[in-house]
Amino acid sequence: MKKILEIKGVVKKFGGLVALNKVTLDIKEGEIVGLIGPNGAGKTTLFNVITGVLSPDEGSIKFEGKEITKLKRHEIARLGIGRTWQIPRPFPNLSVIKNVMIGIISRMGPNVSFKELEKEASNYLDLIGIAHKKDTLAKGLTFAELRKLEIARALALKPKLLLLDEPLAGLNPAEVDETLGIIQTIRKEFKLTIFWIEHIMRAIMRDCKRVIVLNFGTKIADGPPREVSKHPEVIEAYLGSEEIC
Amino acid sequence: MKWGTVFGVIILVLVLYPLVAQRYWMHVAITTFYYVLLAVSWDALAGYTGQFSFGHAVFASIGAYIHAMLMAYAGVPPMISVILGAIFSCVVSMAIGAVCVKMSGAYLALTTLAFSEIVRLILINEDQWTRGPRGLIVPPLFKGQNIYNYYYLMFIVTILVIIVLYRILYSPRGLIFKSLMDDELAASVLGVDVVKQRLYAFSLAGLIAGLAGALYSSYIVVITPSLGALSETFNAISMSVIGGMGTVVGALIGAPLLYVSAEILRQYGTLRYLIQGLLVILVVRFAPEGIVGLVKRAWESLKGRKR
Repeated sequence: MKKILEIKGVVKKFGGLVALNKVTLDIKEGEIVGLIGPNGAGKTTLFNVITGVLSPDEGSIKFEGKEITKLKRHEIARLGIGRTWQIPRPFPNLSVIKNVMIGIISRMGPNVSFKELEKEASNYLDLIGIAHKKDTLAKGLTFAELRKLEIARALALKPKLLLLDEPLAGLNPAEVDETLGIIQTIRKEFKLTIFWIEHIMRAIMRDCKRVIVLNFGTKIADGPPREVSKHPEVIEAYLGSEEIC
Repeated sequence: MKWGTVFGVIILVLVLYPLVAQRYWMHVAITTFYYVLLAVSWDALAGYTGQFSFGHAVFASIGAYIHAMLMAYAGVPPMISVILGAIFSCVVSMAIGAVCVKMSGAYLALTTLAFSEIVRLILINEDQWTRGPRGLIVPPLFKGQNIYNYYYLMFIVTILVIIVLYRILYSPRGLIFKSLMDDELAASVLGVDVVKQRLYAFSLAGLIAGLAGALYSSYIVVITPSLGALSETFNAISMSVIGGMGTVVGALIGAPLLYVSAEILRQYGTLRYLIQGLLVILVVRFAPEGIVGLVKRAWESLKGRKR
């Protein structure tokens, strides 16, 4: 299968702290890849570097064979990389449906009609299951609804690659199952490639064919979940080494 | 439908107004149009994209001085110099927008405020061109200083500007503007070119303010650097805030309300500033969404009760 995302030797430093240390990885079209690692391992930083929120100090990032390392955020987004935020960042004073329209407008240009926007945005809301809240201001949503809105909003870009930053964090078990269902649905519907930061291992083990582990900014494992979970460095990263225990 | 009739009636009243108004109230009306243009263009910038410019009136002043100097020193025909004044103001505004592109909140406010004062001081000190505080005489737009011509000119321009702004701000572009106000970072990863949109808003606001200043300057005949003073900017801001920011209609309500009430309260001397200030405080405290927001809320609760 074709590689959709190729990351080579990416370094990102914050002062003396090396948040990403020569990270190299690639993701193939249609894959669903988990990204795990202890707190502060650099997972969100990696997402920020991919989407142009931060620029890397070294290394290169290619999307569908095209160099995107130096591109601006909106250019990267328009190429087809969508993301959600670990802490939801909705447009609080816009209604739910208008939140979703933003991505559609930036894809289709400002001359698109509201009728068209409404039709398309409603599609995403139906799919995600928050259509009944479409006219509520985003600041009036519950946390679980905000998580759904994050996904709906990113979908409006019609991304080829979707980066999910802990889409399950803070949800109760029922909501977790619902969101997992949604992720599977949209994956099939839009033929998405998904790169997914998650702490809930049950979800990763079940849904991802491949898992990448970061620790202190370094990639320590990359492979099927069963193998990765037995990898000695991974166990050490999560549980500490034997001497300490 | 209902709103259409309301606007129709207002326009009809304004068309017929000169038939009944005394000269003094004609002057009040023309000045009100000027303030409407100033407030509504500030609102397009601040109420939509969240860029709180504190130097807005200086763009009117730039438009006015460029227009006046082009006519007086270079003999440029009146309407062309008005347009050139507006375009110059637009370009300067865009340049300021570019300087402020990474700023928001207090930093943007202070930068624009400082810029506005710098321009005012230049206008005061370069008096071989601007005649400084003695005032520059602006050549008239029409032969003979006929107040009715200016009334209808300002009226038509105001209507046209409102239509254009309405079409821009109530289109998907207005929505993009509002997303910037809420969260620029989130907007950028959704494909919004934040820099481009911010500059668009700045140049739009500068263009309208410059146009308003140029037209108004020919009407008031003599302009001084105080046309772009901070107090003028604060006037425009108060009008937009009291009316309701980010609504277009807010400025249309706020500008006449504040300016006409100021004229009515003129007989109380400086006490009127106190009353105006109090009004601003009351609105900001109890109706932060302005009069438009207040009416909207009342309307919604009324509708709720009916059900």
